[in-house]
Amino acid sequence: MMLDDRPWSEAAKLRLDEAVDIHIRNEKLDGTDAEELREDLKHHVYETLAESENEQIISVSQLVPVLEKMGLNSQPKPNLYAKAPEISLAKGYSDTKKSTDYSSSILAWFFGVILPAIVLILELITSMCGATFFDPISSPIHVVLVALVPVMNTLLIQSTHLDRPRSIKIFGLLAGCSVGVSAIYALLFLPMLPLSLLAVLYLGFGLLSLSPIIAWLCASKFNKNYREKLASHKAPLFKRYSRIGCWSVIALLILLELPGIYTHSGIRRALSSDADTAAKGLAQLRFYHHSDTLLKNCYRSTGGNSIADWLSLVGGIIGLERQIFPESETRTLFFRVTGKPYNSVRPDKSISAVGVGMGRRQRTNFDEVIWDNAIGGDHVAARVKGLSMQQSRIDGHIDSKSSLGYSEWTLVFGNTSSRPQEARLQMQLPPEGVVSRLTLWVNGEPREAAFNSVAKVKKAYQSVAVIQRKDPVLVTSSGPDRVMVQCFPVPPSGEIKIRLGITSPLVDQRLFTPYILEQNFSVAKDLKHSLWMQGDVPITLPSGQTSHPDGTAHSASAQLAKDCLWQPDTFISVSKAKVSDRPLYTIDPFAAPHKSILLRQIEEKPAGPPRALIVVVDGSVALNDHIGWIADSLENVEFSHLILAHDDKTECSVEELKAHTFSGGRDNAPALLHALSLAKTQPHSQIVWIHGPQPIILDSTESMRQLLDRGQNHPNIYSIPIERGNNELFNMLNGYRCMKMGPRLVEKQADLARFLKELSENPARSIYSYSRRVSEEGLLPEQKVWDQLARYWAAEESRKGYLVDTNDPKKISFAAQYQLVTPYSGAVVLETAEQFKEHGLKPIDSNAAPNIPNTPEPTASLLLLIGTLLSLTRRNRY
Amino acid sequence: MDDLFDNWTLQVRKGILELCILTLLSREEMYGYELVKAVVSQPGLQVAEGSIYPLLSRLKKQSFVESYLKESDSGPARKYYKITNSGEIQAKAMQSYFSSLVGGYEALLNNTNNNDKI
Repeated sequence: MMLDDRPWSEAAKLRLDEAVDIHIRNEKLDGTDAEELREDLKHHVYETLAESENEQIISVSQLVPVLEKMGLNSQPKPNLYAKAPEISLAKGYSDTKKSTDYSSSILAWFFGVILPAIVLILELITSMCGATFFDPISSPIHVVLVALVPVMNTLLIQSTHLDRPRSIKIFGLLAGCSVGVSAIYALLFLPMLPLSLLAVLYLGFGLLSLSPIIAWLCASKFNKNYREKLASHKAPLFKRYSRIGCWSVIALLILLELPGIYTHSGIRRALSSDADTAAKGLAQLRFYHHSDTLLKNCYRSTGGNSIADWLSLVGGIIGLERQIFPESETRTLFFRVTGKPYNSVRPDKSISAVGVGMGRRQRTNFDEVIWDNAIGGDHVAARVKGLSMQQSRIDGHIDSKSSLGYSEWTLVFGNTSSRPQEARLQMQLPPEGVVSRLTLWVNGEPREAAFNSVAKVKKAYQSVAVIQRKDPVLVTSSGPDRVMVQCFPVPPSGEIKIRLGITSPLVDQRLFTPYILEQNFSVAKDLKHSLWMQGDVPITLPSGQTSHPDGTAHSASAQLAKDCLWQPDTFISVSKAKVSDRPLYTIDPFAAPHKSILLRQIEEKPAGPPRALIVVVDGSVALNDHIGWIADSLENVEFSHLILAHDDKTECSVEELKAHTFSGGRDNAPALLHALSLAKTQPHSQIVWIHGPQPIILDSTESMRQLLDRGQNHPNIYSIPIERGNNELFNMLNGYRCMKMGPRLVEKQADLARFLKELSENPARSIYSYSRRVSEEGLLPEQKVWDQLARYWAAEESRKGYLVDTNDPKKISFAAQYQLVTPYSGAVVLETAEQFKEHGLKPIDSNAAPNIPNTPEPTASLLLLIGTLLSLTRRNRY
Repeated sequence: MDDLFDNWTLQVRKGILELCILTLLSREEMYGYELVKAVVSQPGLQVAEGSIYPLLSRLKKQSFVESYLKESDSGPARKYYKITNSGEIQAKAMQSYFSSLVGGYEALLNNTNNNDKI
């Protein structure tokens, strides 16, 4: 550039830069115009100096006359267009901004530092914006970046005023980050600008939502002021690093939100009304999705959007695309993408739904929703914040003679929230089990339930619980061998205690325990599931603990891990049953006196014709880890059709099944419908449905109902759940007796193979037959068993018939008479006698409720035996 | 009094400088330094050399002049300026107006002198 080779002194270089900078500033030029002028002026200086080659080195003394001639003196007289300010050449900074007046400095401190800092602290404490619009500081990285804005504004203001030189590169980088962060947040808050302005103008508040935009303006201004104050050779460096910082932080913020934005785009496509787009969207989400974003959209009504949610929402408002996804649709989508029910996944802490004033400390403990919009409904729905199971115990008795067990599950729910909550759970009963007792503790006193039609008990519950907010508990049948339990209210900072009595048969000398299919509460971290069981023979608990003699019986207790609450293969085994071929009888406490003796006999049912098995296998991801042993079980079984259910239906071989990639949650209805159509055409067909959770009904089920309703051939459909979870499809078809639960698989492959084999071969087997007698005459005392036999018989009677007519008064009356929860009847406990009366219900007498039998001491037993013998002897003397 | 004069001369020079630049460039293409020297060498104009470049920049922005780089024998490439067609038209219009302005002023001056004589 220079026209001669003479070197320049550093002072001369600096002087020239300063003079040129001031001139450019006075001309109010920027960008390329400024650069061009700089070049022209310098070139002019070089040309002038080249004409006077009388010094070996270009010094300030040589330069100054040239500059003066050009009107570029560092302390110039007023030139043509502007008055140049003074500069200080001794420092690396100009003094141009020293004249900043005090009032503007106050405003700078307020809007650039104090306001953003206050807003950040307020948001950290109250989550005001997070609860109302979106969470601007959803992660620690966001907090640090947002905090950078007031910090950097402080440093920039100080530097402008104090002339304190700093490391240009680092300072430029951080200042750029501050501008980048504030720019992104200004953009995020831009949609609120009109409302904020209106609020400020007319209501006097709204400054908080304006603060990001104001902070950005301040950060930009301070950045520019600082740059202008720098010496010309430092300013470009500062500018370069500032730009690097700005774009880097913008890239970082975008990167942080990218998974959410990608998932939003997938959700939008997957919920499109166009089938092709929806399929592509689903595939996109199955390929990759941000779990938190997907799950958060299942809790849309709870508020607490992420930045990605907010962008999506704003996009929807300004008409870019459909962005508000209905909860019901996203919950369905969640299952289709992940293969899991949305409420089986604990929402991540960082995506919390929050309430104004909740604060971050509470937020970090968030794991459930705040507002429960399913109170008194038929679904368990989302988990509710503050509600938890505090205690759990099962007490039970096994009578090996009658091959029956009776268990009482006592549950205590706690509520740490400030509002009453409803605890809901769907419970899987033991195979062929039936709820035969329901108790609620009111003011420490146990109250027994009234049993009546489902409609009547539900109405009473909704009236007393939801409207009057008193203390009821409701148990209704939700599917084969499963019940829905609801109790409301669990009082704020209080507890509610309920007990369910369950009568169930032993299966292969095992008494399976009930377990939770789905729940709307969390479980206390340190909860232990207490189990106490007694039997007339030695028993072994799931923990491996064996019983010890207890009176004339045997008992054992154990504290089981809380995992047992959800495990289907938890059972108490009976070492040697006393089952005999002789008939057993009981005195039926619910029957009329003239037929109060219920006699049970074992009959041999001859082998039937072999059955054609149609096996339907769920294509959901839940089966991915199990398909190996399922396929192995199928290897040695004769089946007529093997159908893969993957939103559609595909008949396949076992090898093809093994090779299949299981993904997402799949609609099984089309495959079941196909299986049913096939079974209808083949006599003696049975359908075995091996599946994961089906928490939602994806397809219209009317076609299936039609096939179940019509014709005379009604093949059974056996449900074999491989993983725990709700099965709405199964529950919805609860009224059809052909819907049956398959066996609980303990030794998975062996049990499944055995079940399939027996189902297919239809071999001879023992069945129970019942009869009534007037008196015990001719029956031996050792043939007499407990009255649970009567309840079990009644439960079996209730299962008879193909289709459940929930309005059948005889069936309702029968089930209620035997105090059973069946598809016809439910149980409800209300708080007061008046409430029972008001709803036409009558609670059972506590004496009529089933109990765990007390076993007498050996000495007492001996005395009883002697007494009985004496009385018999005396009778014989007459 | 001095302030008024300073402002007045400033305004007059500002207007006339643009005319000078366009006039010089309408005669021949010149590089920056040469052009500036040519302008400031005129004794009556009394402008600082550094003031010409911003004017050139503005004229360029208004498309009245164009610049291009041309190799120089005595150093790096020089930036040459040349007038554009619109610049030519503008220069002629300015010259015409300035002539009529000066003419008008002279006529005014003559009339005043005559009146004084009468």
